[in-house]
Amino acid sequence: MASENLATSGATAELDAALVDRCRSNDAAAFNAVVARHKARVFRFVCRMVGPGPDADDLAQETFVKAYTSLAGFRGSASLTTWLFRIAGNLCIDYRRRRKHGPARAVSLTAALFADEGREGPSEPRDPRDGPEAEALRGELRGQVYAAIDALPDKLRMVVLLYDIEGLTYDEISQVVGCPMGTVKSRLFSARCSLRSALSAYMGDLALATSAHTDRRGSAR
Amino acid sequence: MMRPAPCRRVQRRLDDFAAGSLPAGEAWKVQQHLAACAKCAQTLNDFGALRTAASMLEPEAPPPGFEDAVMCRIVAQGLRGTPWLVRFRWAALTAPVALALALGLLVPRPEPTRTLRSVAAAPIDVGVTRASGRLAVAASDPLADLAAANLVELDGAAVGANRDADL
Ligand SMILES: [Zn+2]
Repeated sequence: MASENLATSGATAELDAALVDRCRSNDAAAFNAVVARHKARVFRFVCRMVGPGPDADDLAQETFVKAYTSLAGFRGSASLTTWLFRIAGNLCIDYRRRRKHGPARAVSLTAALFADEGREGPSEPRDPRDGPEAEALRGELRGQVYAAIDALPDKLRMVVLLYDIEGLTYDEISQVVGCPMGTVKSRLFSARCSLRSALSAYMGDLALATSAHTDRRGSAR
Repeated sequence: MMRPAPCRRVQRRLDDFAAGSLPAGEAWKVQQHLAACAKCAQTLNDFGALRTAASMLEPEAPPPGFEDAVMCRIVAQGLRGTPWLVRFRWAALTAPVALALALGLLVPRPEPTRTLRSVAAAPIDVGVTRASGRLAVAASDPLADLAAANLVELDGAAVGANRDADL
């Protein structure tokens, strides 16, 4: 599970609540701060839901527009993070439904995955010991993992992304997707089984790559 | 009579087991099962690899100017008549427009691409001018504005609530 968990951090929740209050008093700077604080996670989630590209940019922006215009209805029973993920998730699912009946997307997920030049933000530092062959293998694995996640039904993909990448708890995910925790656990298990089946030819390589990744992270700390 | 091997039940608990969130008694039972069942032990490893693999995907970062693009969309939406946005609209508009006027930047000109993406991609100083130009277009003929037409109908109560069944 991802280490960061903004949704459950008390200080974060307090700051978000204060910002939401200021937004309700028409404080533009406060909403700008909300966007700045949450844009990275919302954008990452949207990209994983629909694939990186201009449509993801639009959907991420639309998430915040919709959040702003719905702030009056935000009761604060959920954290701002889970509320934003809920809006983003609904927009992404609508988008994917529309796309099913529309033209195929112009940018393939796998190609887009490696074409993120010009973007701000963190990127994994390259290990100088890594040769081009190891990098090529990791690239192929990433592509396969991405394709397998992309092929999951929306309900399962959302749960995997929120649990594995965004580090939300079952309770938070149940608020995002609007179903009981038992259903969330069940979907996560189904997703794991589907992914393992889709990636069966790569599981050995994946185990090696992920243990090397974990080692690198451990030694970097 | 021997009870059937509870592999499925154990496998459903592997994520919690790996996260250390199972109650001690249950964790012990899973541990015992894993020690005796190679299949479930392999599943534990596979699920762990899948979790790490998902987190290894390249992080996507928002494009530069993301906040500006969001604010432009909100202001454009306000001009279409969402009443409680009106005050915000002026709060958001006053400063950049005054600044643009002071700097002599506010020159009326047609929006080259008429998409919000171009606003997002533009450097901030140009973005202010373009946004202001855009808003002038939206105010005079909001329905002709392609980007404004793409904005969703904004009904706070509808956000998510009507889709619970689908999720
Ligand atoms: Zn077993």
